[in-house]
Amino acid sequence: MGERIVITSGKGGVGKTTATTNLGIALAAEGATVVLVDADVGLNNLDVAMGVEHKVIYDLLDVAEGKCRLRQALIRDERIDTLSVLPSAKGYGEKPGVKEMQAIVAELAKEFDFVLIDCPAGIEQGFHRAVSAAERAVVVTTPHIGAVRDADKVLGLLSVYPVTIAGLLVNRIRPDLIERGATMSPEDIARLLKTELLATVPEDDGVGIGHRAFVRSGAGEAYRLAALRLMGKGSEVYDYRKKNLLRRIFGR
Amino acid sequence: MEHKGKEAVMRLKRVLLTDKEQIPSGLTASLRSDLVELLGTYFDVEPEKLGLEIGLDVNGRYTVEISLMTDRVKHLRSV
Repeated sequence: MGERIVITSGKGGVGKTTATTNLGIALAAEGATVVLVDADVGLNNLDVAMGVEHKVIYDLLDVAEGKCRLRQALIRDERIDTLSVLPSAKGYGEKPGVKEMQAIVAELAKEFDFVLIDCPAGIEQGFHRAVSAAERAVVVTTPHIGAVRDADKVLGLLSVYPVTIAGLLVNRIRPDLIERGATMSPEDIARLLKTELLATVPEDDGVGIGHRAFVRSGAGEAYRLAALRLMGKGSEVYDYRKKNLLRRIFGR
Repeated sequence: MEHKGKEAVMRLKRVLLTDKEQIPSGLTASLRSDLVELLGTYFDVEPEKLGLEIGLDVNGRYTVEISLMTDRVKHLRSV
């Protein structure tokens, strides 16, 4: 049975969809079969992040309403054939319900090693729907007080679900600013939130909607190590300090 | 600029502590009700004599203090 992991944050704009995309790519590159589920009904962007928006015919809501089979709604990645996407619906509403979502994700878990659920921002119905279908959670934040505060609230909410915290993913870090003491470090954040670090992802111009961060440097390397941790095949977290030092010495 | 990081950490710590002070509504009442039921298995319990204090220390840890004054211990029968 595959692992069902929700990628959540509370605050919007911290990089959940980007993290879901790149974790999915990294897991698939390490040999896992992966499906990414866009649980953000209405403000969906996972299809755009994966570059498959032009291929969407059926979506999560169509599957929930029985308008198509689950397999018909899955879109296989063009470059990595062990990676697929289940896009979300463009409208908004109460559907799919929690039970429908759980059933769909459970069905996907029979076929894929990892089901990554891209959770909508906020802590309302969409959050509940996404988290209810998961067994593990990755909490995404950035080193900004508002984002960390919301991550703390999400961690509190997750404690009432039968979900294990896979770790904290601190996104968009600036090693140069951390070194100068100008901003919080991921270690500070993990200590205050009393949560283990899963990944420290540096700010990277190559990452964004429609781009792939999976290169063996910077953010790509951070995601690769995070994927290994999720698979239980490694314990290393990207060392942004060492990379920053190398960059300063060698200029790359 | 070099001290902004430490200031941010302290500010975040204050924000997180302030948020934690707001215990979810209904939790205290619900907990009190459950405690009366549980302790009532072992003691004669008058709900108004059950003391319940939930506090927060400087490290963000909750402290829960429960106190009860009772005149009688119930005898448990084994079958």
